[in-house]
Amino acid sequence: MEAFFLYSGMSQDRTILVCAKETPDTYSDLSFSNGGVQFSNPRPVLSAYDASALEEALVLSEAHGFRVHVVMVGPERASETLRKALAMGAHEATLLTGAPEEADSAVIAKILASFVQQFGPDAVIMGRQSQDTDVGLAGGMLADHLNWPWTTNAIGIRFEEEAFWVKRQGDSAQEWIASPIPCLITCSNNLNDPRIPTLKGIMASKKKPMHIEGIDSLPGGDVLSTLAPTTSIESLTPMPERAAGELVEGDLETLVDALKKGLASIPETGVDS
Amino acid sequence: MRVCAVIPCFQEELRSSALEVLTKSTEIAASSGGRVEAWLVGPTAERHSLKAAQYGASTLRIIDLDVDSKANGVRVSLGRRIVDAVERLMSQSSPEGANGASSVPSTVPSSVPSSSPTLLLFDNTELTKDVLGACGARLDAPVIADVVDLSWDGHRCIAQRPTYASKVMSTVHAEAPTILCSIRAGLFEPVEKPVDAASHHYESPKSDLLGQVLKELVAPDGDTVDLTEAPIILGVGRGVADEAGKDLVAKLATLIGGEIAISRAHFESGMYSHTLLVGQSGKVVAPRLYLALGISGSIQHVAGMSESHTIIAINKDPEAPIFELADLGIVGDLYQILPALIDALESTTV
Repeated sequence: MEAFFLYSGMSQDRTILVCAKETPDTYSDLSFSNGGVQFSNPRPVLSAYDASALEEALVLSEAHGFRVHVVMVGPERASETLRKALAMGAHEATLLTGAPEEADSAVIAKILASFVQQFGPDAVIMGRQSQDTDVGLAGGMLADHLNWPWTTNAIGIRFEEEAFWVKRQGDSAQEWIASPIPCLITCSNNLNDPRIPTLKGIMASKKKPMHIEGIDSLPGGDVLSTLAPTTSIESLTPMPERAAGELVEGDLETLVDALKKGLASIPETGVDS
Repeated sequence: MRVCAVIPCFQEELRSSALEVLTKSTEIAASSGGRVEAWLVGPTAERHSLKAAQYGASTLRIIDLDVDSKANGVRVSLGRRIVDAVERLMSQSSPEGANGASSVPSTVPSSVPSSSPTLLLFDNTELTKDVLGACGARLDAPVIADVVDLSWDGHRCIAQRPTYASKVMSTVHAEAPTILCSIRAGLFEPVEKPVDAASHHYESPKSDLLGQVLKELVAPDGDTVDLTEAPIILGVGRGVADEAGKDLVAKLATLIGGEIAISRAHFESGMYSHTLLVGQSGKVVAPRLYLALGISGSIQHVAGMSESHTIIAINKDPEAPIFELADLGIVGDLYQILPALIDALESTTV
């Protein structure tokens, strides 16, 4: 077992569970076909927000000796993405298969809740939303199912006196909120820059435990495997394009005049034309 | 159907996003032959009830959360209290679940037949994002978050929401006795529609906060700008490279009454507060005017401001992607243009 457990004074069974999702690479080019969306990069990625959650869990692990376990609900091929999480440094991973492909946040949260209750981590850390749908509901749903304190949109996390201190970005200020364990935290991707797996990490990941479990084997699995999503995506269409605007080039006077006119067309600016 | 505008009340003024939620609620209720309720939750709930009636809510349900608020307008670890309050209002106001409503007069009209669904509408502030999922789980109801349009076809809620980094519009349906939905701020013009309203007061739930405490409030520079509320935003990008540029932007902001936002470039630079970040990972805004200053227009930034009503961009690079969505694009050097513009504005406004 990793050496730091020996001198960190903490038992190795303290665990942070990172809930992760794989998404299409939404920053690659996309095209529409048969009512669906195709991305030019066919390889799914670890959702950027979950990558930040994992990075933060690894930093906390290095400082305090937590074991980091990553769980993902997805098809079997998602084990490739989970392997990347292990290459980044997570100790162990579980892939939960058998969820309906069109599962929404509510379905995923119920599956995760069952897994978390069985697993009993000290904290759940996850992205504040997923990179593809930007929905941002699963964290709050999971926390409520677990009846745990939660903090969303973390931009800083530290562990002190058996509590997780989270710096949360709010609407007009930031706040430090402390939650005793167990608790749930959702992360902004402004929290950190997730590490790139090293060659050594990639080699090590091949020997790390990866469990593949059907959701029907979880507590309440008979119900979980029949859950139907309550929201459905009916269509995906290109965003309505904004009408092409005017592009002004020229000498300073021309530019300033155009700007002034532009500002004057918005009454709220108080600029006279 | 019953349409309920859920309005967290923690500020002196009712947020304009709350008025938008009320207006959208009124529109959906009118199209479905339903009525509008305002669920006012928080220490300033009572104060905002008049305004809610002015914007079309004929039933006001008020929970005056006894919050030990340390600073005006800032949440004191309130998530669970809001969720508990919404649950209480749901169970005590629906015709089926009206038992045990000690603080509710028995004369509460239960004109809504039990087959008629309830739609709970929220805004999409960080405060709402913190509680929306938990509310959905608590009520075991479908949730559609951050929509830019919403309608009711008699059976289903039909919503449109940008997805895939705002490159794709997704049409989402939900059909259930209770549906929750949050709408993006800045897209729906608040319209006054004064009605006679009946107020009902509910006891504040005794929430178990599970040991969670607010340790410290960090309000950068004592400044608590709420970008989602601002009608004019000056977005500052990499092109504003130093304190001199920052001063110019500040001066222009004062002249046109705008608030300053930043792109990811300035999240790292340390020149501005992180609270000001606009983009997929920051605030999502839709002001009347977004003035993009030295912003190239990365996908991540655009996802946070592409719904702005008017976009004016200044950039040195005529190929900058921001020009593809700008209504007016100015190709030139900020450090020449801004001083000249400020001079021109000062000479006409004095």
